[in-house]
Amino acid sequence: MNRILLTGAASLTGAEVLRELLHRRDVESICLLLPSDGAKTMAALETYLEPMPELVTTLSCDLRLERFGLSSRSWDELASSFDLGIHCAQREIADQDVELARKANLLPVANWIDLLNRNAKLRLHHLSTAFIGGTRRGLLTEFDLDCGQRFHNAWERSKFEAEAALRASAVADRVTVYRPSHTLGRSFGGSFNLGGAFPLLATLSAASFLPGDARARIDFVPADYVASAIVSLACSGATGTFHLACGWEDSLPVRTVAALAARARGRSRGARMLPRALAWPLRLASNSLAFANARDLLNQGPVFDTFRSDRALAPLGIYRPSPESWLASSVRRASQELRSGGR
Amino acid sequence: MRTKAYESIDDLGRERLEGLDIGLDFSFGALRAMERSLWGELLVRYLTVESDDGTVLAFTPVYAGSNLNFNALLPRAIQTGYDALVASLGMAMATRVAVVGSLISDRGWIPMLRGFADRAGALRLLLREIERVAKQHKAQLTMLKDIHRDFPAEERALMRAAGFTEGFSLPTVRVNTAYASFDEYLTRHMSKNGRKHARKQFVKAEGTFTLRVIDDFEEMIARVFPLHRAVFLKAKYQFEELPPRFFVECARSTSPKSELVICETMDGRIVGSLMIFYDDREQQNKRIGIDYSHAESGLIYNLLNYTGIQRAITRGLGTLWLGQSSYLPKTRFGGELEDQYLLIKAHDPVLKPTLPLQRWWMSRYSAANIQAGIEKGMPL
Repeated sequence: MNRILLTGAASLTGAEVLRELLHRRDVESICLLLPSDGAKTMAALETYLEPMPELVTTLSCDLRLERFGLSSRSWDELASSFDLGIHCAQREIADQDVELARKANLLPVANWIDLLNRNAKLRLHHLSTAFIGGTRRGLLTEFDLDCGQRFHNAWERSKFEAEAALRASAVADRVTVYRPSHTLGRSFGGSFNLGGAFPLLATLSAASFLPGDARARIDFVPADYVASAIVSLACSGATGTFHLACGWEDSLPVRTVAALAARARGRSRGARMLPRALAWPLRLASNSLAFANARDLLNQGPVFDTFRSDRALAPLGIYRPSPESWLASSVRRASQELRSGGR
Repeated sequence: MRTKAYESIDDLGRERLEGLDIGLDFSFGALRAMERSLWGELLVRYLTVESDDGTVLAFTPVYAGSNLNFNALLPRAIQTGYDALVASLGMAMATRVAVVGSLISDRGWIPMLRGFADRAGALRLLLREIERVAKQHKAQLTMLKDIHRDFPAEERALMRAAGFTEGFSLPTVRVNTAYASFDEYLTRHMSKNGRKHARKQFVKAEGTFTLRVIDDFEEMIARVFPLHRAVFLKAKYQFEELPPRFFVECARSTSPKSELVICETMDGRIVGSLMIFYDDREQQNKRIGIDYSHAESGLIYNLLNYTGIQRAITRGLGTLWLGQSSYLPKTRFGGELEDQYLLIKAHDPVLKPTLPLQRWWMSRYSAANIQAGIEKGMPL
């Protein structure tokens, strides 16, 4: 039976991870590490999922502080009270604020390493991102980390640094890393919030012109696939790095995604793509973060190899869903939520 | 005679290739491993010239796509400029290339039926089919990859007559392993210094590394792939980028046979890996993987290569191929450089005028030129 410590339950993927955990019989307890406004978050989670059973407890803390802001005694107790840590919390804003990104994405990992050092039985399952591949064009395998890539933003950089810290640590053999590609809501249902790749879709659905490449491919996965892969692998004791991506064959051209996003918003035509080199005047007329996001993500990036995850997930009965089967409805739902104010 | 194009090597079948001089480079298992590990938009077609009764007379794979590193042999500035162009103007600027030959070959040629008389006729037909397939897949360049010097010169002339510009490609390295034992190899094949160097490597390894050979190595892939990947990422010339699946398919191959030599530290950490292909005539040290974080990575490289040579000698094989890189150590191991040619045809009017320049640039890759560099202590 697993005793689980979960961070980031109030994130797009974290909420789905919690849902998966609640459905498992081999979970003895789940402790959610929540920020100080935890009651509000719990209420939102209960609305989205179900009233929390007794096996779910919460602990208020600040992941960005040393020992998560807990006293030495509480920290020692925390270290010895769990078998599995699932770290989904992250600052996902694709800006250039490296300091903030490191604080939110790198410091908690240092704390986790300390917890792992204190409890030799504890294993960590860390939610990273396939976009640690940064500016690399070409293959990115689950065995890669430093390929000489550069980074588009502080989020990519800090997630890369977090992975590097975990790999370099003495506890690396007890750490499993998950790298999802662009994550959206559930394949057939809503989503806890509109994080992940939703801002990119919102930009695609609203804009007439964007800096991008219509021929480039975008790799989307639904959050429930990511969550079920994480939970199943975590509970089966898997280690290593896993790409949770739909793969080149199933990824969609930017042109197709732009059309999908536009249709969901009731527009007949998708945003037109302008090459990066010619698109700079658009920056003057648009939200600079959305512009930078589009410029970085709507051009061809790395091709994610899924060798390891395919091999590990097939025996568990988890298969990558093709975006064609779920993406259109997911985008439509997101668009409706956006129009109605979102969560 | 007629031409045909197949989408998979399985459609063509292993038996139909048996009468051809396919060697290790065009062996069924090697091509299937490559086919099953293509990534991105890269695709393959297998072109044949067949007699009326369906006998395959000539055969070659053609790989088409824009994710082939076609300019790996060109100056660094051109490679960087090309990457910047694609990054700023998009995939529309990526050059689509058709590469004729095996993407993972150590040397290339056009495999033909042994003893077939009308080779020229078959080659002409095949070249026409290559042209058709290249156009069908909108290739801007067609490259006949690494035609080895042993391939008949008059047939290379036919390729040039079909509009291909010929330049040097990276030479391949052949080792004569027709010796009764490794000791005899060291004594008779290598210079005094080389001999001393080889023996010293094994002495240095004692108590530090162990080497073992694994036939069924599929389960080892996850452990050794990072080492092979490290070598690829560090390589000066990055050609085909192979995913882990390639190694799995190689492990499963029976034609060619394959094995893995691994180098471990005394605490069981794998720090080196050498994947070998072999049949009953020759051997290839196909891919090497090194843990560069280990202080003795140079020693690991040498040990793996010497072990590869030992394996070929033990099997009684007369020829070992060491591939197209790292010429300085490979000549020290006893290898000899052999010329290969790259034949390029541009279908794009912008690229056409660049061919004479490419030809000039690639003249540096002649075996004689590289050998001269090695002797001056300035290998390529």
